Formats: sequence, C-alpha cells, structure tokens
Amino acid sequence: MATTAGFTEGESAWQQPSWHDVVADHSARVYRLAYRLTGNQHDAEDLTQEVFVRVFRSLSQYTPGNFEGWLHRITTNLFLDGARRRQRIRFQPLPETGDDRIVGREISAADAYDLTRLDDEVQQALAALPPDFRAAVVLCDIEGLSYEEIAATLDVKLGTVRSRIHRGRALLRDALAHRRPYAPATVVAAGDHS
Amino acid sequence: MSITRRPAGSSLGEHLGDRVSALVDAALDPREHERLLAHVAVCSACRLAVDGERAAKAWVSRLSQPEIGVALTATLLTLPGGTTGTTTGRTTRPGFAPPAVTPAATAMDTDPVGQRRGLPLALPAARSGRSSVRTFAALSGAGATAAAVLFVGAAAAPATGVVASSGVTPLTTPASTAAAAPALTLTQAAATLTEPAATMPKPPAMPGAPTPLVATAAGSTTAVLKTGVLTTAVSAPVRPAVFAVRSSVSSTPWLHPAVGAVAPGVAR
Repeated sequence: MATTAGFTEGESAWQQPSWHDVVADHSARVYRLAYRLTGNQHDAEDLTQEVFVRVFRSLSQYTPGNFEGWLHRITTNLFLDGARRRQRIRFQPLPETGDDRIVGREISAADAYDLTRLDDEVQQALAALPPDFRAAVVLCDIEGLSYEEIAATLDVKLGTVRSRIHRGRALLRDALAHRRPYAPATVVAAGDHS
Repeated sequence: MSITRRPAGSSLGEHLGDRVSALVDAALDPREHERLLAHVAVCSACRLAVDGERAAKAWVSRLSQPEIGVALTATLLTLPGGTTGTTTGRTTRPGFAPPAVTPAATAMDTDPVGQRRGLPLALPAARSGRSSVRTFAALSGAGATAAAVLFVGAAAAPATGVVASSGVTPLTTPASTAAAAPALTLTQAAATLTEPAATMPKPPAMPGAPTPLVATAAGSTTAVLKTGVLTTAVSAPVRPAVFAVRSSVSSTPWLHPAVGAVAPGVAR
C-alpha cells in the first residue's frame, strides 16, 4: 500500500505521503535544525527522533498546508520544551568539546562533517545563547525563515522575533569578537573598532 | 552595545537601534528600509552596527551542514512498524531532555579524587595510612616521638611557609572535618615519610637524629606547627598532647617545652 491514505480536505485533494517519503524528504532538514538548536549530535538525534514520533502520531490529523513550517514548529517547540525542562532541573547547558561531537558513532558520513575551528567556535557561541534567542537566530539564519514565519513558528509577536534575533546576534558578536568577520564588502568600510 | 535611538528631528535621523537586525534581514517594510539605509549611509556608528550584524549572520548561516546518520534514518523509518507513536520506540539514547548526565554522576566520577585530596584528615589516615599510624604510635611509645616527629618536620621543610599559616587552624579542631588542603598534603607527605623511617628498626636518622632534633627545635617554630598537624592527623591518642603543643606554641614559640609535653601525652 503505497500512498493510499489520501483524503479530501474541502476542495483541494491532498494525498498523505507515505512514511518513507516523509522521512526521506524531511529527516535531513529536521536533523540539521535539531543539531543547530541543541548544539550536539546526541541531543540532535534524540530531538529528531522525538520530532518524527510526534509527526507520525499526528500525521493523520495534519491539515494540508505548510508541511515544513509544521516540522519547524514541532522541532523548535520540542527543543524549547526540553530546554526549559532542563533549566528547571538546573541542568548545565553543555558546551561540549569538539571531539565529543565529531566522533560519529552513527554518522558514517563523518567526512562531510568537516567542523573547522571556526565552525566549532560559532557553534559554541550559538549553544551559549539562551534557547529562545538561539531558536530565533537559527530559524532566521540557518533555516532562512522570514520574521513572520519565525513569529508563527515560535508563536510570538513580530517585535519579539526582532528583538530576540537582535539580542542573540549581539551576544554572538560578543562571543566571537576575537574573530575577524567574514569579509563582506561592507566590513572594509567599518575598519577598526573605536 | 546597541545604539539607542536618537530622537527624531536630528539631522541624521534616527539611529537603527534594534532595527539593525530587521534591516540586515530585509524584514522591514520598503519605506522604512530605505529610510534606514539612508541613515546608515551617513552614520558611521550605525554602519558599524550593520557590519557587525552582517558578520554575525554570516557566521551562523555559513555553519556546516551536519548530516543525519544512516542509523537514525533507519530508526525513523521503522517508527510506523515498531512501537507506534510511543516515545519508548526511541532506541538510540535515553532521551533528549532527561537527566542523562546527572550532576550526581559527575560527582561520583570525581569522588575518588576528592577522597584522595579533599576529605577530612581522619579518612586517609584510617585508610591508607593505617600502618604508618601504628608504626608512628610505636615510635611514640618508644619515646622516640620527638625525634621522629621532628625528623618528619625537618624533612618536609620546603612546605614550611604553608604549614605555618595553615597549621594552626587544624589544631583547634583536630579530628573534625575539612582541614585545609595544604595541611593534608603535608600530612600525606609526612605519612609517607614516616613509613620508610618506621620500616627500619632504627630510623635512618639515627646517626643524625639528634642533630635535626636540636637544630629544628631550636631553630623554627614552624616545625612544631608541622608536627602538630601531623600528630593530629595520624594518631588520635596523641590529641591531648597536641593541644598542649598548640597552646605552648601560641604562647611561646619555643619547642622544648612543647616536645616535652608530647611525650607524657603519648605515654598516657
């Protein structure tokens, strides 16, 4: 039975994808987002699995629409829930060392995983952000969502998105102040800090 | 760090403030976007802010793309067939949120080290240093206490400064808990020092023993302090005598009366 579970919703027919298709089409994206949110492979894998468990459970109730947006929402919500839960237990946010992350026990394509030093530092700075800020920044800069989409994903106001991204980036800049920025043309004009 | 908005009406217009993010992300309505760009063109502070914002954005957006593992993908694919819809179907790891690495576990890991380094004086003495306690007591009983103690004291002389400062405190609460680490270290050093001395019927110091005894006794108060710590740590029976040492030390820096006080205490 391939994709027989299609159903009709109003005037537009929507065929529910097979589970295989769901995984094939979206797991990489979900994992990427999960990785940048959690900051390490272990948690990213667990979060990804949690997301797909959730997706699997509610796929039948899914009303056709923006599937990716739905996944973003589930992923970030589960992440933020977990982060808040951990904060309650006063769990130390783990700025893991690079080698702990790189060892790919399950990742065979570890070569594709070329974490440079910069990559490491940026990831650590990102992981040090408060989860709310981190989610906004990641959705914006990694997932490329618009502010409106981020607001919908996080269920917050546009102004909140704006300020979270702004404050998150400010913290990143502070953390990476020793780094020369990538050299977009405009940086040249700015020159030295005063 | 962010630039506060300047009140409207200034010749440069408003500073960007937290709208710098929205500007860089092109998340403003076109009119505001243009207006702010015009401002940035003439305001170096805001230009700097924009550059910093772009740099931060570039850092994050150029992060490498982690790839999902084959095993995880396989697990995901089995979700429908496996335990449907329950979190128990997750086979990889205990969980994303649960206390996987509890602080307690960490503490357990470091505990052995802690025992070696930071525990109350009584423990190491009772555990590893028991033999030396016994031999030490024997020595004391033989009346050689002063010689042995002072020998140890002299041998541990490099630590003098530390002991002088920390040695007094443990004495006040001899058997009680956390003595300062330096004192403990000295104790261990002293214990290890006593052992070889004790294995020989007549300590190696025998030829020279009188000399260090006299020399240290006459020369330094800190030696007494050291022996005080040592005695406290290693053998409980000597405790009364230790108090005697302490009091005499605090009143007079001279050794001879103190050492004299140790011997009767042990003999008791």
